[in-house]
Amino acid sequence: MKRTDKLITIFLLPAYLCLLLSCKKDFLDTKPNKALLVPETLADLRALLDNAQVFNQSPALFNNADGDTWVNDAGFNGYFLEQERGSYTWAADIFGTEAAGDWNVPYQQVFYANIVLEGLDKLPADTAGAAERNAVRGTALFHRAFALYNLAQEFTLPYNPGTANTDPGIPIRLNSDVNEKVGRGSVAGTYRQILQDLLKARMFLPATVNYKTRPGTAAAFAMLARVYLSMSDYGHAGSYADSCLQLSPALLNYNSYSTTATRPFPRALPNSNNEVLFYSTALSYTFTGSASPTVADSLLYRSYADNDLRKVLFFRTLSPGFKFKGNYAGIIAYFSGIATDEMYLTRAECLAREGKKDAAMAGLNTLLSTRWRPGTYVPYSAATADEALALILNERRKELTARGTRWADLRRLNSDARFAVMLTRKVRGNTYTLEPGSKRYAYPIPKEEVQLSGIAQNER
Amino acid sequence: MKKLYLLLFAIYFLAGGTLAAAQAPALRGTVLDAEKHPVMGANVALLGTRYGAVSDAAGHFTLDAPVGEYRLRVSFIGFKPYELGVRLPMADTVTAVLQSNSNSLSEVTISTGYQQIPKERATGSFVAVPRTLLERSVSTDIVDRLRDVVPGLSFNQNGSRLSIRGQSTLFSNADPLIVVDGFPYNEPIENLNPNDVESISVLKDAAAASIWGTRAGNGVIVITTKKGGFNRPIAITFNSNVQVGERPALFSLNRMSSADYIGIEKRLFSEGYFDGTEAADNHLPLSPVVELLIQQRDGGLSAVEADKRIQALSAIDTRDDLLKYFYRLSVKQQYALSVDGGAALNRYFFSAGYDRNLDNEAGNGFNRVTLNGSQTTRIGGRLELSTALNFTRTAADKNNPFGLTWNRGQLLFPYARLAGPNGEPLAVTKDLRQNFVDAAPGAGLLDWNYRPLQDLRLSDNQNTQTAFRLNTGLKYRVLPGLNAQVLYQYEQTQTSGRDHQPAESFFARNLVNRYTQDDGSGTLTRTIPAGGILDLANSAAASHDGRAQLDYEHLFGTKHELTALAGYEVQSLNVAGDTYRLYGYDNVHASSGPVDGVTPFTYYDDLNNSAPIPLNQSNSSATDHYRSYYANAAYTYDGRITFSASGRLDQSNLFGVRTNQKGVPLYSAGLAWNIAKEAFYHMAWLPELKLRASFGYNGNSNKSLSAYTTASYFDGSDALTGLPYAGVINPPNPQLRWERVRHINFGLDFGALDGRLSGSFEYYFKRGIDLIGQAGFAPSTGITIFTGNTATASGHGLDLNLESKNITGKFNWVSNFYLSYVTDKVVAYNRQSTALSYLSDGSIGGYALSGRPLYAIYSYRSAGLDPQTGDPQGYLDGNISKDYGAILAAATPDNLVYHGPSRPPVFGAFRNTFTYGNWSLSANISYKLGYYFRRSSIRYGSDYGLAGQNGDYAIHWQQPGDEARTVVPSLPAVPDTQRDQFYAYSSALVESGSHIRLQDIRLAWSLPKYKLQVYAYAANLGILWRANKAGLDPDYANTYTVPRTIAGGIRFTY
Repeated sequence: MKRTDKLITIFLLPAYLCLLLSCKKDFLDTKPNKALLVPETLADLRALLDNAQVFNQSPALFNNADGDTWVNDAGFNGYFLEQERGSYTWAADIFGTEAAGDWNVPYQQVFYANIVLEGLDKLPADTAGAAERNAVRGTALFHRAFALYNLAQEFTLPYNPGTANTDPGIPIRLNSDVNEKVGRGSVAGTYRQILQDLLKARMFLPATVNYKTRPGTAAAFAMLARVYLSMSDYGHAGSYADSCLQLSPALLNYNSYSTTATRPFPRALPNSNNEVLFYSTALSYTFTGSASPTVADSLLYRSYADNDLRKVLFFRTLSPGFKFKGNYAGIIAYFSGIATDEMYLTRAECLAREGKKDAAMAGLNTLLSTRWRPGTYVPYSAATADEALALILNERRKELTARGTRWADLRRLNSDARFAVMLTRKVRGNTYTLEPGSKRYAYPIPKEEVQLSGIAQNER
Repeated sequence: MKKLYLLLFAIYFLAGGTLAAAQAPALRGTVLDAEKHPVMGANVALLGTRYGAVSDAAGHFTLDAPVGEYRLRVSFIGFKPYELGVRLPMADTVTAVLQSNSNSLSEVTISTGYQQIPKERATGSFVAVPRTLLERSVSTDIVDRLRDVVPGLSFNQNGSRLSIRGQSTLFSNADPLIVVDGFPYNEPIENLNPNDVESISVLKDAAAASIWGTRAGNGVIVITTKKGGFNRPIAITFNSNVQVGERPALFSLNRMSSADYIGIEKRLFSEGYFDGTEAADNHLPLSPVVELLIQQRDGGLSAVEADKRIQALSAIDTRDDLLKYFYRLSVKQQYALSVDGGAALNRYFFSAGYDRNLDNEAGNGFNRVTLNGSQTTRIGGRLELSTALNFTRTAADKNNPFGLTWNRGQLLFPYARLAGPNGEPLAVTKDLRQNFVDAAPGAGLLDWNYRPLQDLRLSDNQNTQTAFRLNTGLKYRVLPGLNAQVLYQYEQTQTSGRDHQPAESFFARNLVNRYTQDDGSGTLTRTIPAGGILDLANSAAASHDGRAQLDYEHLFGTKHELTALAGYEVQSLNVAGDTYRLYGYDNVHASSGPVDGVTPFTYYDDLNNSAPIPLNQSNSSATDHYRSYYANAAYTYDGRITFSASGRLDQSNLFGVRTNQKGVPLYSAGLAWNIAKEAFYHMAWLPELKLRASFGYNGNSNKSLSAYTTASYFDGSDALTGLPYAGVINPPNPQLRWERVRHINFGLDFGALDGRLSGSFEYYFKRGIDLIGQAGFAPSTGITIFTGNTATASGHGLDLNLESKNITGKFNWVSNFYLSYVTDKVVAYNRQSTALSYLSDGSIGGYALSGRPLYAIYSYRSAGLDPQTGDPQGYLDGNISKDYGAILAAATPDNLVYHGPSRPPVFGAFRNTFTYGNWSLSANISYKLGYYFRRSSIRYGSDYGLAGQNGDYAIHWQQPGDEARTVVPSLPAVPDTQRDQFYAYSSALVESGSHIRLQDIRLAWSLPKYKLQVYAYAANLGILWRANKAGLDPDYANTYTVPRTIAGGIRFTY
């Protein structure tokens, strides 16, 4: 028996140890994959918000529908997606059965933001990380507002105080439960939520940030200015633009940059371009590709004076015209975030609308003096506030081309007969028009969404 | 912990207790096998009493029991039981000669991995595949030898490689569990040498599979390796074969001809299609024909000369060069040597195998060395110790680029010439325009030409794997009939990939050039040192499996037999991996140079673009833990009726789930009734008849899902911000439940006409409950696809297996036939997805639709081509329509045409074996019926189908009347992706997959006296009949068919 005992001991040992190990309490709690996490620490939540491939992107189809671009038939035929052709010609149906990045990506941002906000609510009270906790909360709120604002520009009718309570809005989801049914609500409700998120975000966000992908207080002010402007609430828009510029007035001096460079402006990330307040890039489509002959509208191009550096810093020759290259992102994707130049223009516009033409002109001149060759800029002056407004709006289009803001500007300005624009396109021998106030300023809701959630389609 | 002590305590206590009882014996005896060698360890019992003994090394046993008359039974695995009436005390010694049961069909045992069950007492659905059948075919991989020989087991063209009785899951692991020598096999199946395999059991229903719990939802394949035998003389076996396979039939691919391709290029050129590319500042490539057209347009070339050159190009078909330089005959050599035998106290098996495969793709191959040793030793009559060590080393060369591409991943233009007249590599336009490439050396860059043939010759990419598996087992006979055993397995697999792209390779030159920086004045600086690039990838997998089990076997009285086992098992598997890259690598000195992997550098060839130098660094670690408790028992009454039951609780380290949800209990019950043994049974023509029924649940775990929101960190950090970041993988799903499969099986086994005709018939019902599948979700939720418990599916089917000995005598003719029918239907689903999801992915599963199989083919109803324009036509509100946008918009999952399943509901094989004297010839014919597939056709896109190169272009509609001979639409007037989509998914492209195939033929000549066999084996011989008129092989509809192979070999035992 003795020998047997020994043998048993020897040969049972490995199995015995193995069984012993398994009886450890955490045997079944071992993470199946080290990379996995259930987002529940502040660092995890921050890592989700730092996912720039989710958060720092914005819809872009309307960049090719706002009249600032033009494409020949070969280029039009070369678009990969039907929605690019549909968008360019303001077709009744745009997405067909294609997946709609312009709709899906912002909603993914809302989903992530909601997960982060829920995660914050579950964190144990802890005063040590209060600053970071606030920053995370403010960032999530900002991102949600940014996403909803972008969606509203593409998929709802322009904000009209008279009909905002009845015009259908976009589904607003405030928690991460994917099974929750949410209807469209109203345009007024949509904007109310956006403003509410931004006003809260402003309270939580830090004054300075080290990465342009993260919003700071100035970005929140800028975004508030942008939202109020799209609602034609010029009082609020102007004062938030001013608050933003008080914090962050920097402008690039265009004389510092090579006019022959393919990418003239410094790469914005992580923290380089001083004008950039919040970094986002446009979703990429064929028309933004460097080989696509989708070029600047020739009248727009010709509106830049020869001494205006933007003419050479913004455009390069590409048959059959001039293609945009003045991208603040500094990489291949188009910049679609917020920069201070937009705030100068917004503040100036609001001042002009208040009748303060000189202050308005002064702001515009501050901006433009950095855009011209040294010694060539002759400051603008305006005889009347209306003249100032017209000048500012014209410069606004030139300064912010290819930024994704023109579409929102068209939507609000169309209600003013002085600035209303009728867009026209000729493609393959057919002529297409987009009239001011057209219902086609709201894109159709993608079919997948209508089918699966049952929300109402936009009338076109 | 406590449980373990108790178990050990029980073993010690019981062992000591019985030993102390030994007294003067009333019965002595010896157990011998047919060759008069002593059999050790045989179970000796007086039926109906607790008295029993075990034979020792000399085969002797002694037994003490009260005076009386008894029935003595001596049994041992692998032998028929011996029974004798005795009166105690008995003066004479008893000699029990056990007959081997290996020749008896009715005594086949089935290994479940936990125990051996005599087929007679099996209640569930098992298929035992004997060694002879496994040795019939020639392959490197053991699982391949199950093809067309196991009822209910099918090899799939899409999804999991194998399925048993159809697919039981949508989205979770769909592969059957493979068990080798009692433990789940974690290595790639190629690591197992088929020559080392003794037998395979396939467990198909709940009765046996619930033994394996949550990993058995797809069935279990139990592989038992050779072990040698006690009291057997030493035997040396050698087997070797060589298999040669044809070159793949590249010309059977439906590809656009060079002339058609060039025709389209000319047309696109005249329409200005290439203007954008030509003007682009990132040097996008243009094909040789377009370059000639540009030269001609710009006056650099006369029209006559351009035509002449284009004409010459259109005569080239790249496939000629591919077949000559990139493909070859495949040659697979196999050598296997084994030594086995055993004495009274021990048995052993040693083997060595070497395989060397040269694939059809030049530069690709595989070689394998396997070494095995196993032995079992008996110590002191009660203890049995077994150890086994398996070592495998494989090396796979992957130097063939397979498809050649250009222009950022497009199929290479069909008129590229790859080699000159003397086989010298020629340059082919790849991702950059030729004028830019030609200017590179002058500007100070490395040669930027791409020469595919040179790369093939330079490529040095190998994956090696070293694996070993250590098994130890200790079995202790506590009491007659009660055994305790502890098993432990350690398995370690080290994989290392080494991809060396030498300095001369395009890959290395291209990266060095791309990251070369120009300061604006033409002064160049290299950010990547010139030299080779070495990519290394390592992964190590280590697993521990431990099991403690009690087995009990007892005959109460003469008629009540009970077998039971209970055990506890733990498994831990960890896989850790890392990758990294060296630049400027010099293979002679193993030296390399540093690079800056942080700063983004502008691409030399595309100033718009920039990126940091890719470092290819990653690290990962994954761990699976399982803990299981299991028990099963079978009770047999009088050898006639067997009742069995099993239960199991599996727990695992599921992520993001509360502890009490980490496990799932599963159970099964079964009944077998040997009617032929009943007194009332009098059907003499049907001497064997047995009925079986089983019921139970199997599970399937899906570790990728969680009830909570889960996220995952990405490798490294964001390229632009340098910040680490994470992404959400799963939305929260509080309703997540385990997937389960309920399986009810009825079986009937029979033997008739003196064993001339035998077989089995089984009918089963399956119900997949809470199946995890995908559902399209409204994108406003933040997700577009939701993975969760979306469906319940029910299915039923039958397996019929017949063996008929048509002629016996000097000339033998045996036919084996099997037929499997399997059908399934989704009975409940939570979410319906869009029509497009079912059209594009319905055939590969994932999306459930009520009333339809899990794998199904759908289409838009086609109304043929418009006779006037050649446009494809569909239906809108019942009327013929060409409004594609509206047709697509009106399509719902319910109004699509449903053709049928995409996996065959009926399949099987018919094998005939003829033997005459020393000669044997067999042929296996397989069939698959009742399923559908979608063949690919042209998608015009915006380039008239140029990039896709589909050969249907040649038969597209061109003038009225063509619609009678073709379904391929006319060229679109303007690009229309909706028209393309409609046609691609229209019913015009759906074909029936039914076909009959001659799978293989084997011819063998044997000399039984010398245990020598010489054989020839030919496989993949071709299709005998097919339902589709397009002449397509439904299993390889959109690629070339598997090349035919022929093998010759020799096997002998000394």
